[in-house]
Amino acid sequence: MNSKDTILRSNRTLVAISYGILVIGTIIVAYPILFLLFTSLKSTAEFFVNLFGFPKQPVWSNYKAAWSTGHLGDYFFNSVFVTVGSVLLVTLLSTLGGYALGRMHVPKSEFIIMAFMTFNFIPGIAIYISLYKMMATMRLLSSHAALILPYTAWQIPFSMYIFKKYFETIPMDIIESARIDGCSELTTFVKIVLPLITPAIATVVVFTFIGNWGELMWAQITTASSMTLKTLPVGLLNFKTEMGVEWGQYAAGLSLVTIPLVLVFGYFQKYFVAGLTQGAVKG
Amino acid sequence: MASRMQSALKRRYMVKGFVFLMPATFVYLFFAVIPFLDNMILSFQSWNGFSSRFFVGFDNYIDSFRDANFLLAIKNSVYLGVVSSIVSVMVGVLFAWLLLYVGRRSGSLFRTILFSPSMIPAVITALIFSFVFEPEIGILNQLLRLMNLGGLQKAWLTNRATVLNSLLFVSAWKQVGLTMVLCFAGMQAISTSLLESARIEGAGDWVILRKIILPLIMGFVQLSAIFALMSGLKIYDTVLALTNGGPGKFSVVMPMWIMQNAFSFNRYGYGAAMSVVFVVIVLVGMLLTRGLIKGESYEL
Repeated sequence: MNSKDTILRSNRTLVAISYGILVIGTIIVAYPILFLLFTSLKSTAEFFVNLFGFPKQPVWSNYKAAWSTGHLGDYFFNSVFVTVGSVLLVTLLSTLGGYALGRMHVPKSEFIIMAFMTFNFIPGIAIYISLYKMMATMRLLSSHAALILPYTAWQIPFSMYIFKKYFETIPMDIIESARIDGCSELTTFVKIVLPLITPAIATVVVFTFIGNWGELMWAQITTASSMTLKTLPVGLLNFKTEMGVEWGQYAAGLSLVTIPLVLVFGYFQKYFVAGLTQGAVKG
Repeated sequence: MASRMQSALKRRYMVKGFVFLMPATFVYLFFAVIPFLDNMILSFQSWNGFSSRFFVGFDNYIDSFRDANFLLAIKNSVYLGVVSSIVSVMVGVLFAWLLLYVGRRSGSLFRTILFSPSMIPAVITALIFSFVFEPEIGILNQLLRLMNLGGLQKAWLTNRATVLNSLLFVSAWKQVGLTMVLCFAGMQAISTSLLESARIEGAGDWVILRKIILPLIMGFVQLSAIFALMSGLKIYDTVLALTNGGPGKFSVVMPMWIMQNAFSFNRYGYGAAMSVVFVVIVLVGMLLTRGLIKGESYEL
């Protein structure tokens, strides 16, 4: 079998050059992350004498110190609560909406979804000023809802787009036969259609999670006056000053947030990429 | 008769369809569209956040174009957006192309590692880079010292000559993987027989890249250029965490200056006006990119 790489790889020199350049690129990308991990296991004394290398005597207590003195636990809880809440809501609202646009004869569905998508390009700051005042008037600022509801809303266009596209690949016959069998629309949706779109759900969950987990600007605005609602991105910004010059503990704090993401999403990368290329079809 | 029944049925589904669509639409209207429209109105008003709002015509807009910091912020944001999208598209396409020449297993390892910065929040990548650029013990300066290039050491983030390009590097570092993965997906879709027949005709690698691969992935190049431009124009987290706009206001960017005016100086109307200018710049940038990189979608 002749695959793409065997055809191209006949050029030995270019193969060698490719490995060379990609290895260099990989080092430039990976080293700062590795450096963070190494530093997180060094004592401050070791950090200054052994800057680049692997830690000689791993100091695991850095992690414990970062977790407790840096308030990471509180930030972590807020981030998990806000992110999981918005991921669930986004999935619920945009599967319903995407199904309606894709499979329920809503007129001008193409126009509706493009309107959502176009609006999606507007920079957040053009929304935040008025939204902040709206939420203050409604006294929503002192609860997690101040983050969950907007985070849900802002992820709807892209998620609904993904779901609409995916629902359109499900043959109408399957849906219609369920309808004829007397299933209500909601039963058809839950029992027949949802199980068929698990890959799309995975894509949306990964996307929404990454987007909301790292969101900084709105979180800064809403939690400016609150000691208890701060999420990880906001908390980490203050983290360095709280840790002083304890580089090891500081690095441990950053690693605590980074490692789970890289591990989990390294595994889910294909869904992330699937979502992006779905966007490419209709750019 | 049958068709009339069908259209009646369709109409019933349509009504239910609107019901299904309503929650999402309502939430989106409330938390995005309405505040945006209110922001447009606010941009023509003066408001300190407490007293009542009153109309001031185009004053806010006129002020914004006399505001040296805002003009500098526009310049910086546009510079970061344009240059980081050019750099990340060029490097991303190069990496994607080179990936075709390495074995499948090592290729997927390279891909996973090169893509990983895209999944780390921007605040965190910026904080990681505070280790790189730190003047005393930072990786970069220490590395230069080790290589006996101590003379090149700089205070990267507080030196006017290097601060913007340091930010640019972080932004491209994060963006390249995304561009690479998108363009690689485009290259995967090119039919093997096309490459095979080009090879049999005696086409070299360079010719295959220019005449076959690049034209066929233009749609993906366009998309990744737009993504990169957007993230560069809207860059905030990275700048905040690394320089906070400094030295002085030298590396201030649009979202940062707007935030400060609205939420620190209580000039909400003025902030709103600048944010509308920002929206226009973003939209123009997007349309220009679309025009410059023609992404004809081939049936692959």
